[in-house]
Amino acid sequence: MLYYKIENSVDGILSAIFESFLKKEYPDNLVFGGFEVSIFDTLKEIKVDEERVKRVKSALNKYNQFALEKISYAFRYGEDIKLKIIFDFAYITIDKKKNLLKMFNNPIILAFNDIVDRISLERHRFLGFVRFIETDKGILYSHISPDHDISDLLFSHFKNRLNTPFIIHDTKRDKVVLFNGNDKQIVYTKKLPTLYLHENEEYFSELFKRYFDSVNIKERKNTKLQDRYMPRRYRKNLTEFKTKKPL
Amino acid sequence: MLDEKRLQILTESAKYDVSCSSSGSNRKNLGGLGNANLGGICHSFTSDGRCISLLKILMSNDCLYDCLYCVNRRTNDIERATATPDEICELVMGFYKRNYIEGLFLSSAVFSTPNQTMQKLFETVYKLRTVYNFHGYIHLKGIPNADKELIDEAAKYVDRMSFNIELPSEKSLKLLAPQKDKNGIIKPMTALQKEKFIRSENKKGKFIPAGQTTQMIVGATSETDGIILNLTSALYKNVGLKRVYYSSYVPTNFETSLLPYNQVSLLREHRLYQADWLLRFYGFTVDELCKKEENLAEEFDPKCAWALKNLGLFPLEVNSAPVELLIRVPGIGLKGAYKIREARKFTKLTFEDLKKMRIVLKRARHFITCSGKFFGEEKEGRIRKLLLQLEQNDNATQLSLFDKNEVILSTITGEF
Ligand code: SF4
Repeated sequence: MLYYKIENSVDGILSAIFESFLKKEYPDNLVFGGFEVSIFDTLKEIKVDEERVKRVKSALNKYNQFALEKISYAFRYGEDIKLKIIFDFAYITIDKKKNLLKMFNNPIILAFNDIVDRISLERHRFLGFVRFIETDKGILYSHISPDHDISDLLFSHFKNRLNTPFIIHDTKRDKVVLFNGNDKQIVYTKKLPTLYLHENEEYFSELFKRYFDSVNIKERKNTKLQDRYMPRRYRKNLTEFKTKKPL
Repeated sequence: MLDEKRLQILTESAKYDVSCSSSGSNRKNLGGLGNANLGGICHSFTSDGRCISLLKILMSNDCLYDCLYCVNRRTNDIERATATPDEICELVMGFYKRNYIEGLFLSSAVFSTPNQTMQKLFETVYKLRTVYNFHGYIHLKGIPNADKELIDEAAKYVDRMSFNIELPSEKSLKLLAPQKDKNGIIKPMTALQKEKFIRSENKKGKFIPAGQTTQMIVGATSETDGIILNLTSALYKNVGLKRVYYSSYVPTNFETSLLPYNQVSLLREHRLYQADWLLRFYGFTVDELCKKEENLAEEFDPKCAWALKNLGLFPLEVNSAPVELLIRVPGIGLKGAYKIREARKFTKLTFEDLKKMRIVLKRARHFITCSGKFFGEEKEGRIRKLLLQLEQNDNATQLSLFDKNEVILSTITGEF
């Protein structure tokens, strides 16, 4: 098997594309970091080369004006398999010299559209699944741990909506997206902030838990459906799934 | 501030209103808190599988009326509570800021005259918009027999309004909701629709941008699905409703022999939603799905039942059939038909291709050919039997409001 060892970035993938066309070879997989291969396999290290990246980008742009945008979106996917999926898509676009995104029966397109769809589904879900805590200073803080790297995709929605400083903290990626009242900042940090709650915080969170219980129609229990719409892995950060105080 | 006990009372009695959709409006944030998302957003899901999008609450559950099917009826011995407009506004602001909800669905029992009740509801939404500066989604329930002026005034501040029909015929209404009449419900709906039209012609600002909806209780009275669907279709066509909701009757009154003692099957409600979906998005007419004096088939979903009655129209060739017909194939939904239409521009599609495209073929295969090849059964009896088995398997696992293919879509649009 032929492995390309690349930099874990979009440019890393695009550099691999150049190499593949240049050498008329097709890698079986793309890897990064300290990846070890067996003696039967070949590992080829490919450095990012800006000139090459530029040429691949312009080729992609020529055949599909949305390709690059889609690729950087797809790169948000939470599993490493994305490298090969994006590689295949970029390769076939340049090879066939056209926009194939709607060729729904093609396995490469299928896989690519699939990861894009999963990211946008998760982004949409999190417009609802973010829970803010109000701090004593009136700042809204939320921690999430989504499957994919979507936290900054939520920014403009909440900025327009809340119109007040807020923080969205992706604890899986140690990534903090914040609105300071004027613009967006993205910070990477392992430090968890110390928060002092607003005096009303407990009142509202207890009330919401109560609400969550009382709108449920017990006679119509259907937890399978609930699980499908709201997978259990998302629930640990949600107010309504925390134990409530007795009345 | 509203305490937990009153919140519990006022929201528990509001939960039988099934609508929780927050879609259909794109209200902007005008410098306060909130905006509306056209597609709607679900914030949570309760263990009955329903979406929480709005804070569904009654202003009061202290009703003067005595509708037999309703928990809040005068003669029911339950705890009563009432909230003030400010208490509701504070709650909405607190919940919304924390992203618990997409907005408010405010309704009320008739605790005073219809006008006085409507006046309180108006006050609440007016305050919420102008004093609290809230620009999120508001769905307001109208009070039957309140003055038109009052209703119109309230409608200026909300995204959606609804009057619940509750019972699908005047006779049933008389029997079970003696203080209500058809006119008090249908008239304001028609009037609102007219007003919306006039205002949009004259560009006079927002007026229920997300339109109107209604709800009917299913199974409390003897109306057939045919009657219910005919009413539904008339409401879509003549009154311009955005959505009709159906709610299986949940027994809350055991003192009358006029109402069923047991819970009505959820399957019936499910079939009605499927049929409703076919009316709105798939170009079916009520007559194609269900005769007036009949109920929808329980053993098949309405599209399957229709296809079995019209086997002569099939099989369709997927490489050439128009989309309007493709969507009538059992198992092929709007998304599937779209994918087929786009993909066949590149190549002639085979059965394998459809599989790869994740078109569910276990039903569809009896109704299509791929480049002339047929992979289904020839005999009607055999098809019927296989489809029956599939239906039973699916229903055993779960009863969702939508086809499997449409589940993702429905999560996205925030319907339910
Ligand atoms: S008027 Fe409304 S709240 Fe009052 S009893 Fe009738 S349905 Fe229930």
